Amino acid sequence: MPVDADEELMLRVSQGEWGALELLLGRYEGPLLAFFHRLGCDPGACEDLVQTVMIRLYDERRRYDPHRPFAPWLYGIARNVRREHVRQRARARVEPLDESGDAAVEAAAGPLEQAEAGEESDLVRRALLRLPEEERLTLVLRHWQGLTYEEIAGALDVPLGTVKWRIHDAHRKLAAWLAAKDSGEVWG
Amino acid sequence: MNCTDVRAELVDLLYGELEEHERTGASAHLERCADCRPAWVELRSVAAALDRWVVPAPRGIADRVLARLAIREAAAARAHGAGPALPHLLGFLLAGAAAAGVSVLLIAGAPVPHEGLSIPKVGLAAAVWAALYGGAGFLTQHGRYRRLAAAAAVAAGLSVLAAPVLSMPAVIEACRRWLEAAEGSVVLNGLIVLAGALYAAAPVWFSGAIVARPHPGGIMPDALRLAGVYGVLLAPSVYLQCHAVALSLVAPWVGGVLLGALLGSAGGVAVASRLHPAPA
Repeated sequence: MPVDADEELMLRVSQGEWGALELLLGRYEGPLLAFFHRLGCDPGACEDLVQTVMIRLYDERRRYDPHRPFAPWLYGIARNVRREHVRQRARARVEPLDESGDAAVEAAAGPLEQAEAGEESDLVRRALLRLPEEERLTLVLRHWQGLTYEEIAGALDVPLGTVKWRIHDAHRKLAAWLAAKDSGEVWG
Repeated sequence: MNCTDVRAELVDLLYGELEEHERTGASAHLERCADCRPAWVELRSVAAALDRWVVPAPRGIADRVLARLAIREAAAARAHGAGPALPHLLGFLLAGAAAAGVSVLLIAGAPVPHEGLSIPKVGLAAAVWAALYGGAGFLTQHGRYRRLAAAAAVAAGLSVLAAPVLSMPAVIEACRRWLEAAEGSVVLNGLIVLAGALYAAAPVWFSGAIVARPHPGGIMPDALRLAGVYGVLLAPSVYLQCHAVALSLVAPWVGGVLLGALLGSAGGVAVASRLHPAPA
């Protein structure tokens, strides 16, 4: 039985079909949660952000153009939701959304935390958090969420060359940091 | 491709972003160039490390969102009246009846003979006519056709205001002459029905396609479908109206109008419920 394309499901959502909404949200629940995790937010905030994106998807359903790919549209919403959340947290003068923030990274890079961080996942996570925000976002969309350069350019509303440059630069930095880590150098 | 070119494209190669000839060239270069291969191996090891980053699995987030949306939609439905309730039904019934009533008044005044019309025929024509108006009314409220139907209704209303109402008898007279000329010819009668279908469908298509706001899925396919339904359903009614309706036949017409409005409203409820199901 053929699987319905995301675009077809979203069109049906825009026409009020509840079953299509169930399928679509079920399909993107994991990818959206992973997206926010990899951008560095804590688990509780990540789930809230995923819910916000899903509700916004529903609220914006009639604005969706089914002739355009669904995933970039959705991640465009996800990016805006995260941005708003970061702003709110900044206004509330609480810790940055992602312990991902630089302060958290620096703290995690301290000697004690380094000693405790033996897992490769943690190593990658901390390396990723050292990337500039936009580079990290672009790399996450390409490497894990599977968007093409062109789709990322559409989702983030930036030129294709900028996407390409960010991905290249992110890889260059990650390679250097991970190699330095392997050779026992201290991050900083 | 030289080493500089290939190394500049390794990340694009990794992500499948190269054109076929570029990919082939880069792959061939990597196979024979011992200087570039380590860079490719390093890039793939970084990618592999990224791939091994495990994140937590979701725990019922979608279900919670669906439950929340269902509650919200139910509250909104209560606030705005849950679906096509009785006042809606009465409203559309009256609208359909009024529209059909106007049409019978126009036709009843035609100074032409009206032999050959039976009461059932007149009742049927009126029922079809009113059902269509009632159904169109529902479409303006429900489902994906609502913007289109609303636009078509507004445009059709404006065209009625602008139409030369007094020329209606002349149109009927011309139509009657066609029927006389076509007597006994299935083909010519079929052509008249076809003309009736176009007469009914064209304004709907035109006004819907021109006036309605674009929406997901596109206006044109929806306008064609809506116009097609109108054409097919309305053609027999138009055909029957090539005979003028005598004042003595107004009673069955009105009866048919009421029946048609009721059927059209009930059909509208069924269609609207299917197109626009309530959240579970």
